[in-house]
Amino acid sequence: MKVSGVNLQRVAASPRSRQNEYVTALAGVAALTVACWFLASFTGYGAIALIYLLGVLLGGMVLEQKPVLLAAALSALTWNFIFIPPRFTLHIEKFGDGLMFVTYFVVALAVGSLTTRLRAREHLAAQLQLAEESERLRKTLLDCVSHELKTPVAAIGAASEALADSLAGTNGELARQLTMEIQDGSRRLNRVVNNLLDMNRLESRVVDPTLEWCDVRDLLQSVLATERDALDGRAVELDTPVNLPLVLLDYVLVEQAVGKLVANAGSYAEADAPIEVAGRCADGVLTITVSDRGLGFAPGDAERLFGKFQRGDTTKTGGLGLGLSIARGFIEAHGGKVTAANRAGGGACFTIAIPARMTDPASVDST
Amino acid sequence: MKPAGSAIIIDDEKQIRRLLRLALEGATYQVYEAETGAAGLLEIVQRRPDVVLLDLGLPDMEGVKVLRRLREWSRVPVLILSVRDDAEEKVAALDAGADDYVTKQFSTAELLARLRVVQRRTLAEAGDPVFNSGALSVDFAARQVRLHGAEIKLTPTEYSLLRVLVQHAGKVVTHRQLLRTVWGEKAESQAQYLRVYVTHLRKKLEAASDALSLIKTEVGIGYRLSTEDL
Repeated sequence: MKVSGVNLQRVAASPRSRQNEYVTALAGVAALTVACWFLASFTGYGAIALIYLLGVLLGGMVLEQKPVLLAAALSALTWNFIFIPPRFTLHIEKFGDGLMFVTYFVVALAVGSLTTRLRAREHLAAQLQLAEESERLRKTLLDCVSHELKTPVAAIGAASEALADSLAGTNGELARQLTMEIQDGSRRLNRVVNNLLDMNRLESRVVDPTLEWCDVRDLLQSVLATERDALDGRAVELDTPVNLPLVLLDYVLVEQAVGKLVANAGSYAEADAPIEVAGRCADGVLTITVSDRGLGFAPGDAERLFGKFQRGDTTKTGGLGLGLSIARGFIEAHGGKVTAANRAGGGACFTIAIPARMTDPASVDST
Repeated sequence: MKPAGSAIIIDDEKQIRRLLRLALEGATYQVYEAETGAAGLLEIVQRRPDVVLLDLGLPDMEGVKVLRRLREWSRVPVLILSVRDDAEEKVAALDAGADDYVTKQFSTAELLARLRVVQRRTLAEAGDPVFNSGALSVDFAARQVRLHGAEIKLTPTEYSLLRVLVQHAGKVVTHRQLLRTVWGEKAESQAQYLRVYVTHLRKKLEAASDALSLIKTEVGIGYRLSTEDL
């Protein structure tokens, strides 16, 4: 599913330049015919075929395939009509001339077709190389930016935590609270940096799911552990059936996508009502829902929420508004969908639906 | 206080080295530093440290290469430091002989706990016939598993899987290491076996205890048996 940034299709010739190519092909055959008209008296009509063939070969190096094939066919007919005796008829008398004509026809078409194909392949190889280079450059740049942003954030986080720990139990309550603020700030910064980098990955279309068999309950539990900070002590109800099959997914991408939905619920939900996370498998589709009892969103806003830099009107917290957009990107990379709906009784419900291969829960023996 | 041992930090980021030094010295480690892979290897030869903290993104050579060279002659515990979220890179380092990893978004407590666990390996290699940690106890000789004192019936595969995790208790074990040890070399790509049996094993262990999963998932990397100190 990897798509590189550069379009590898040969750029389609515009109608005008295509027309020009046909004109060039026709003009070339006409010019050769005039030249051969004078040469024929010295060389005889056999050598003329080679001159035409040279023309087709040269045409193949600069023109598209169809004009070259036209030139090949046309030159064969012109040679026959004007030069092969009886002249000025398409009729051929001698068996040897007939054989020569047929051979010329086939060779000219083959030469025309082969040279243009060779050229197209070279062109494609050059473009591929260009694409690879730009991809490599982009990745190096991204790695570098990523490293330069994350290292100081990591240092701030680790240092402020150590500081808060060392202040615990002392009477420096204010200092302790200030270091907690630093910690909170670095966590938030870390989240923003990660979101921006994820968005960049999605936009340059380098998100390529690596499918493996996943235990969905395990995945959801892992999300809840990772998003502990974003949940800020809110209760979460995890609901999965006992015999959930294994599902073929990219664990990391889906875990992160669900994580964005859970973090989103964490920032919009009422503090006292639990967030509900559920996983279901039916008819080859894995469905994961994340529901909260927040204010929900304005009717008609469901799609807008997934746009970049969009935040709900009821927002209480900051953030770039990239989370949902990234979640959708990661799920769409699996061929799945993320949708939002308001719940009866208040709150929002986000649904991930991914068509995926699943194991038959009954088929695994316990030996 | 008894010193915790000596540690070498191999990282090109001065700030990270300083931070790690503070954390480690606070826990009575004797700390040495190196900026490059080559200097790090030299330092290990000279200092014979008890543990090595190795950054994967070094300027002169890939962290994995440093590890391969080191493992040719030394079994010193190595803890990987990684600032990137790239699971593949960590897996490669773990498969090349690293003992565990922490991301640089670490907390001091987590870092010290990881260090204790990787250093313990060399002590536990004597081969204790019984493993005890929290509610879990495994008797290797009798192939018996108990949780809160009650015996848990495991199938042979489930038992082998648990045994590998227990032998590396507290440390991450990669999918590949588990597949190779439990199912053999040929099964390395058969990740679904692993998922199925981990799910089974968890169900049996969870049914017998109200605690959260003993077997933690390390996303994209492998599993870790949680122990009391983690």
